[in-house]
Order: sequence, then C-alpha cells, then structure tokens
Amino acid sequence: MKLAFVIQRYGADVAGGAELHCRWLAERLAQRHEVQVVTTCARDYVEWRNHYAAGQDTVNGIEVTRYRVRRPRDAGAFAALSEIVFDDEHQPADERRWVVANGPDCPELVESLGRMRDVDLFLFYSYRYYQSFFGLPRVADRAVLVPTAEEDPAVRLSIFAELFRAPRGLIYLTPEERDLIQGVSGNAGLPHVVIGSGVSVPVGWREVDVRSRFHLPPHFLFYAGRIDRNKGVDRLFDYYRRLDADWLAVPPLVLVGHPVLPIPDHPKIRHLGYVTEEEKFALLDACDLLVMPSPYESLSIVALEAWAMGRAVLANARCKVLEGQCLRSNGGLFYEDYAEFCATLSTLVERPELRGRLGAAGQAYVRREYAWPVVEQRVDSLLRGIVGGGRAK
Amino acid sequence: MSDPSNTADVPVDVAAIMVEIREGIERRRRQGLRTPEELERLLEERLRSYGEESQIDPRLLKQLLHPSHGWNISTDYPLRTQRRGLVGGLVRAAKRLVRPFVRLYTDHVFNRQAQLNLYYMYFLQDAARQIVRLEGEVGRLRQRLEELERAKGAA
Repeated sequence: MKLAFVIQRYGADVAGGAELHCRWLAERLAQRHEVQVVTTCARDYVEWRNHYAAGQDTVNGIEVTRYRVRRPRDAGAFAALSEIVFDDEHQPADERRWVVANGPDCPELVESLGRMRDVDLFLFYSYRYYQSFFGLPRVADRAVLVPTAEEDPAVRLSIFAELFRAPRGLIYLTPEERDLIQGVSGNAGLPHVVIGSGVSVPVGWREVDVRSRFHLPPHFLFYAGRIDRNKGVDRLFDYYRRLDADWLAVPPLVLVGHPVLPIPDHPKIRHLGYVTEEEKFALLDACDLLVMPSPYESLSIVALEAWAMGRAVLANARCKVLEGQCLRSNGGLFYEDYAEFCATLSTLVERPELRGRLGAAGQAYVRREYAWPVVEQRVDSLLRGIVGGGRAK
Repeated sequence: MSDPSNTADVPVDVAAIMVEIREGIERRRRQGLRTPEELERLLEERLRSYGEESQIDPRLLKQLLHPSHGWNISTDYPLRTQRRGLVGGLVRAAKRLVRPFVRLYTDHVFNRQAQLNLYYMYFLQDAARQIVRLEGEVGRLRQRLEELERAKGAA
C-alpha cells in the first residue's frame, strides 16, 4: 500500500507524544509499505515558526514533504478565541476560527493532498490541528484519523463531531480515547482499532551508570517529560512540598525534560535537564517509581516505558486514560487529590514488595499489549480492511 | 531490565488496593481529618448550592466562584445600543454626550457599592470556610467523645 502520514510537525528532533508515535509507526510500516510524510516546516508547537526548509527531505529513510506555515500562532488572539469557544455562547464559525488560530496555518499542505492521487490511504494525526481539520475532508474517502484526543474541552466542540464521522477508519491509542470520541460523535459504526504504541527499549541503557553520573540517592521518585502546568507538574510540586513538610522520609523527586515552569528551589527536588534515551531508561530502571501527574494524556508513552522497565507508576486519576492503564495493567496506583496522593505514595514507598509486584504486572502488560509486532498487526489489519473494501463514494 | 522484587510473581489487584486506600481516607474524613484542599472543595460545593437554591443567573454564580472580581459592579458606562445604522450612530453619539454628566453622579456611588460588595463577599466566604472547618472539628470531637464513653462503659 502507498501510505501518507499527515502531521503538524515531523523530524528526528521533534519532541511530543503524537509526533513521536507518528514517526515510530511510519518507520515500522515502511518495512512493508510505501510510506511518505506530509507536514509543515514547524518544529515548535507554540508558535509553529518555520524551522525546516520547505520541500523534500528524508528522515530515517522516510520521504518527507514540508510546507511553509503561512503565519505563526498569535498567542493573544488564540487565547481570546479559546475564551469565546470554551466559555461563551458561540457559533460553529467561531470554532473554525479557533482551529485556524490554533494552527499550524498551512493551506499549501491542505491543497497538496488532493493532488496526491496515487496514495491509497492518508493517516491524519491529531484532530485539533489545522492540517487534520481542513485536510481530512479533502480526501475523506482515503482518510484514517489518529485523533490523539484527550479529555479536554476541545474534543467537545461541535465542529469536531463531523470530523470524527468523516474518515474511513480511526486508530485510537486507548479504549478511553475510543469511548470519548464515540461518545461525542456517535461514530462507533466506523472501522477502528485500539493500538497503543510499541515500546522500544534502547540497547545501550545498561552501560549507563546514572547513579554515579548524576550522584543519585538509592531511592528516588522519577518524572520524565515536559515540566509544564499542562502536564500537572505545578500541582506535583505543590503536593510534593506539602508532603515533604509532614513526612521527612519521602524520597527525593528527580525530573528530566524541558522546563516550561520554574523548578522550585527545594533540597529534595532535582532537575537533571535533558538526557539521552539510554540515560532515561537507566533512570527508569534506577528509580523507585514513575510519577505521572498529567491530567491530559491520550496514551503516556513514558508510563509504558516505566512498565517495560518493571517499575510501578503513580498516576493522576483525573486523566481517565492513565487510570484505565493502571487498572488494566495492574501496574500502578492513582490519586485524585492531595489526600490520595499522600496515601498512595506512602503505600508505594513503604511497601517495596508491592512496588515490585506492580512493576512486574506492568511489564507483563506491556509485553502482551505493546510489542511492536502486535501493534503493527492491528494497524495492518485495519488498513487492509479499508483498502480491500474499496473507496467510499 | 532488573527484577525489582523476588515477590514479583504474586498477582496484584490495583482496583482492590485503591478501594482499601480510599476507605482509609474516608474513615479519616469521617473523623473530621480533612486536608486544606478538601475543605476548599467542600466550601465551593456549599457556595454553589447556595447559588443554585437562590436561583441566581448561573453565569453570575460561575463568576462569583471564580477568583477574579468579574462579578462585581463597575463604574464603566459602555456605549452600547441594539440599533444599527444611522439611528444606532445617533444613539451612541447622544450617550457619549451625556456620559460625563451621568458619571459625575454615579461613579462615587458605584465605587462605594463595589467596595462594600467586595468586603461582604470576603467576610461571608471566610465565615462559610470557618463553618465548614468547625463542622469537621465538631464531628471529630463527637466521635472521640463517643469512643471515650464506650470505653468508660466497658470499664
């Protein structure tokens, strides 16, 4: 099959869950299909400024076509429109303006899709961005949507219900995401599959001695990802400091990732900055548990990585995906508020045997559900079913 | 990947563990032991129910519960009209002309009322917060008293 992935940004140095998932899946499917990627020149997701050159490129053997973003995101205009569409009475036209303001505003990319007549299927990533909202309807009879939706207000905007009903099929990352999208759009009749993501553990992690490299204590809690309010890290800092004031035995909190929030000046909170994949996996292996405070996740690859390393996870239960993953895997506990954070964390810290059992259950779950061959087989089966069924009129 | 524990093969039931943890928290809550966050949540629930019972505009209630002071009156005199075209323009021009005179008499009164609103709002919210806290305290003391009475009866 000839497959074209359509995504807001793409590159070996692009961070972000959906973008990483897209790149991994494109590279995997390229072993059996003819795969190309259509994207913008943007690298950052805040302003979508043109960073890469427009035109053809190759990323890890995949052919990539990039189009220039017409104008960067205007944060003020976007915030004002967000207030209208999420808090006030408004019209569908306001919601469409919100999508344009959200960006990446790239009409050239959208126009190019109609000209790609030899592509069997387009895989559109992330429903909320311009390229999916305006691009998918142009090639709806050959489109598969990977919504990467989270339980946030955007998914309930009226214009997206039609988008969710438009493609030939959908690829979901978790059962919670499927239920959410089907609930808001009534698209349960469309072919779909829940795939999650394969987990790739880098070969060289064992050679990295993170304890001596970063002078780490024997026990520590670990967070990996963007250090951002949207990821719930501000609340994690707040909870951690309050708990530390009452319970001196709470292990240090070690973080890696890009800081958008200021890191508190606290003797037990340590930010290691950017680390390599090998270092990240070695840190996952060395930690007592991974803390995942994000209220909005469509999958949480880092939780899967922690389980792959046999480590327990402590997750924010306000994120139904994370709660569901913990329950399905039996690999972690979860909290809704400060009282539950204290109770679950102290349970995990004080009961190493329980941590071990949770980690082992999580590891078995990842091996069963998130091995790449399992994921690839699920995707292949959906795509072949759609192509075999012919193009919709 | 290192094996974190030699008891790793014993099955684990996260749902059951969470029920156990949440029951423990609920027991402590019944004893009146609440975190500041829980007290704030209870307070918000109570303020919301007062608003719903009094049947005020739900949008105003939302503003009242928001940390900003968007709910309060202001001295602004916005030049608005439903009319369009030439008539609308004339109405706006007329309003612009009388605005300085109107504000001369209303600004002071509105400012004073806005400050009073703010004062009473803080006073009433704090009183409601103290009531919620004291209710928890009374519940805890009542439970303690019952325990002591039971112990005394048994002795």
